[in-house]
Amino acid sequence: MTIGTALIGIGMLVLAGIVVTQPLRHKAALPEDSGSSRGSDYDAALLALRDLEFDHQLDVVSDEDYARTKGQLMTQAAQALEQQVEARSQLDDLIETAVRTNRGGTNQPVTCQHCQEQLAPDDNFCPQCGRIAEIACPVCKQAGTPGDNFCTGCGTALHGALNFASVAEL
Amino acid sequence: MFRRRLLLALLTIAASFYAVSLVQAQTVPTDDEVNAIARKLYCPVCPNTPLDVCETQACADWRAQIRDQLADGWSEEQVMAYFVEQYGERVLAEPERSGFNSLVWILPVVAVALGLFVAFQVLRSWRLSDVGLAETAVPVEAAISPETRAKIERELKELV
Amino acid sequence: MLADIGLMALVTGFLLAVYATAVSAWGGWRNEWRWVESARSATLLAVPFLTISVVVVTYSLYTMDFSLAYVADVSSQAMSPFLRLTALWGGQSGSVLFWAWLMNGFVAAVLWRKWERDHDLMPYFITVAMLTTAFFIGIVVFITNPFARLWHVPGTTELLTAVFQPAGAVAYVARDGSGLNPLLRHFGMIGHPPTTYLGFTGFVIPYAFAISALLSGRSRDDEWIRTSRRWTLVAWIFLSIGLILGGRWAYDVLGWGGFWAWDPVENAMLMPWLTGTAFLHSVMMTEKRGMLKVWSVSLIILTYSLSLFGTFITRTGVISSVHSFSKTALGPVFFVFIGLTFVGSLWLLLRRLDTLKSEHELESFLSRESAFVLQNVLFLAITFVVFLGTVFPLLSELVTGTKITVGPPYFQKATGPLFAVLVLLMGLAPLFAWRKQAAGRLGRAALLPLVGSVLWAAVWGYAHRLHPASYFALWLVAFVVLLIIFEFVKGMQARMKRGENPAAALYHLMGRNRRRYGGCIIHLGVVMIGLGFIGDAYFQQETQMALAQGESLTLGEYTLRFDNLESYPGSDGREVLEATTSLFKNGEFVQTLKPRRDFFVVQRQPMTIPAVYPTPAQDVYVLLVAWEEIGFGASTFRMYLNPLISWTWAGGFVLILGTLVAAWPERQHQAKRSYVLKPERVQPGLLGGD
Repeated sequence: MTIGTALIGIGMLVLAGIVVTQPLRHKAALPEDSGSSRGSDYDAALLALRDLEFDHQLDVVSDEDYARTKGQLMTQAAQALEQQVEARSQLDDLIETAVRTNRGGTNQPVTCQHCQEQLAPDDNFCPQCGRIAEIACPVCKQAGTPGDNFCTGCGTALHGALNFASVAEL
Repeated sequence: MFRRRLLLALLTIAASFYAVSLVQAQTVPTDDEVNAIARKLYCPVCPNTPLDVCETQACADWRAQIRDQLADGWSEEQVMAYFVEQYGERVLAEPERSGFNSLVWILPVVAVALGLFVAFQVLRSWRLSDVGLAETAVPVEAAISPETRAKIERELKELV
Repeated sequence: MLADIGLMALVTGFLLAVYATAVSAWGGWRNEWRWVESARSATLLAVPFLTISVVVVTYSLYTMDFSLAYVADVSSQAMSPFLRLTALWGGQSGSVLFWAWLMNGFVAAVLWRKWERDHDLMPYFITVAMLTTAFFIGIVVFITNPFARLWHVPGTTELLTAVFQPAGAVAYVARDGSGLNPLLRHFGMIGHPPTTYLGFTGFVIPYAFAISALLSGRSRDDEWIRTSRRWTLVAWIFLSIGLILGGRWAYDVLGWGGFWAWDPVENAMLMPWLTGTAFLHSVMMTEKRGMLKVWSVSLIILTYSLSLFGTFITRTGVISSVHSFSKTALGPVFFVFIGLTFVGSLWLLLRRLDTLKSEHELESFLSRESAFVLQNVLFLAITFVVFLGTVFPLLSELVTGTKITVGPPYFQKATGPLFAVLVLLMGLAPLFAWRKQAAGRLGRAALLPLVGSVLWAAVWGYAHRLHPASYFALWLVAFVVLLIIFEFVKGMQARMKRGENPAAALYHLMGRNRRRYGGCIIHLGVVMIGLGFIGDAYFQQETQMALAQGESLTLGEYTLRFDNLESYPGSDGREVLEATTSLFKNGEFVQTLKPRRDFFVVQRQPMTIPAVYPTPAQDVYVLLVAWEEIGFGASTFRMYLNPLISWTWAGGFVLILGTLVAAWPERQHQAKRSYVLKPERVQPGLLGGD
């Protein structure tokens, strides 16, 4: 083994050392769980329903067995779905609270400037007085439209309009 | 070297045929008859090679020996017994069904029976009791709200 | 110089693998992610280093650097450049290196993309997978190093093999190598060993996932099962291709008229294939019905252990003789490793049984669940029979002191009935519903295929009436084929009711149910392969006769006329003796066939190369058995009619096609669902509000 080859060997080890210790030199956070591939109970129930439909189409399952099993699976699916929805709404509440705390949001209803009727975000006209819908910020009285998520004057988050999807888009 | 040995062997075989045919004036056994026996024997020297297809010189000699024995009027059983006595039980392609070696035939049967028994027990333990069956027989769909049902049906349709 | 670089790259690769094992375990234990990332870097970086090593060995084989012991052992000047390249996996050192390289490649492939998805499992996954890889690289480095040189101590006649110069020895460069085992000098060598090795090594991935799920306590989660299933399918298809190519190689080279001899090395490949197949089925029940979790994990462990066992048998030659076991350190080391792997895994499984609670509810014994369980029992039973037959000579030698042979007749008799039931089940299983199946409905669905197959088998069997059992075997094949065709027809009809044309119906049917119909196609391929085995077991005809020039020999409707015999020096150091014969079918000339006998001069080894005339119904397979030395006046030919063998090779292609259909990723429907965003996605950090 000559000096040259020995140098190459040392070079390999040094290179390996550099590459391998690279991640150690910064503090790596635990990776975010994308969750995209995780199956859920709802998925499972839905796939089972699909198989059942298919077996029924192919005449493997009799009509009464089909109806009965479908009833069970539908119940499972519905329960799983309700759980999903509930978990989501819990999360929505959590996020709303969080955003409100951060932005100094308000829980007070958004009302029509003219008649104090409560307005929904997609109202173009006030259902009570029939005028073009204009709101006043419950905090600073700045005028705005019902579709605003935040007051243009003070930045307060308005009515529960902050839904989950819009947070995710931010 | 190889060729010379081969030549020698062939000459020997030819000579022995000649001798046999002179003495007994019997029909010479065909190759097929020799192979039919050789197939049931394993080459005593090469690993895992049936005698009828083995390419080595030793095996060619053994096949010639079977031919001689057949020509002498030996039966198949006699030839097989001769080879077992000469070279041990390993020359048999199929293990004998006696003594320790019969285990190779018994154990699979035992294993299959055991496997089926365990599988049956497992399936029986999974089977719902009559009470459970009665419960599942009743449709419990009524509790599902129409929206949820519509949503599930719609998503199911996308899948099928 | 070059060999030194290869050696250093190999050692660096070994150090990286050991590092990855240790550091990922540490990172997992202390829950420090950066250590896991470092382990990942080491795993990925080991690939290029091992690649350098593999390239250097291959290059040395190609350029015939006979100072290396391995090169002198498996390469030679007489070998063609192509064969010198395949010599990489033609001997022990090279093949273990190749094996370690592939295994490292598999682990790196898992870590390459989307590896953070399973971040709970990853530390343990890397530990388990890289521990195994490090073990194999370690064997290459310490026990069977391809970079070891030949040394000569002056005054002695022996040559030493060592990596570093022993005291008082001088380097020895052989003038020529001894070259590959003649049996391996075949074009099939390019495909069979690499695919088999890919299959064997690929099983490390599902195994490592299963073990990491057990170690991390996440086995309650089903996600790892899905990941395991995908990787098992990859390993499984490679092993299947390897088995088929191996059979083809045996048929073309070994010259005994068949393609499957139940040889220990073949059995070693078959066993992990059997348990792997059983796993691919049991995991369906785990995924769809939440059942058989413990069983599925056990099957992965068994499959992986058996693929290690397969390597052990192949590389140590322990079955052909107990005495070869301890000739090198390889046997004992390997044996201990397999034992530790198997026992350790089972112990872990028992410790974690509570995390593998399955949901079990079954409404009737007659259900798809029962069919799956029965199928798994059969696969395991066949594996057991094959295992028993493979190790029995060894057992017998240990117990009674005399070695016996367990040959093909045993395996055919013992596994035949089990395979028959399995094939029957394969056709019937799609007719079973989950949970409960009404017997009457099952009978109605199977009636038409049953009647059709009985008629078909009666006609077909009459053509092969020599063996009465053939009626049953052919009926079985016909029945299962008809069941599969009906399965497709019924599915298409259901779609055509909605107004789709037949082509669109077929396309959508398969597109929307890839796994189901891909599975059906695989089953069809298996039945076709089975046809070859039935032909081999029942219908093979043969005859042998010495012919003078111009004489002919008749078997069935074929006649073979011996025309000429000539001898010439062939490639790769062989003397070729080639006969020219003419094949006639019912008196009409079909083809010239040239069976050969090659004699490898250096190895003093003969090799019989058959001449084959293949047709879908049967192959005509001719061997040159013996000849007259002087004047080539008369030669002995052996002629086989091998019915249905072509179907085995065609079945192999169908099997691959079916696997592709089944494994092609399904379109993602998830985006359309009502809950696009799932709670898991949002991390506490988002809610913290910084």
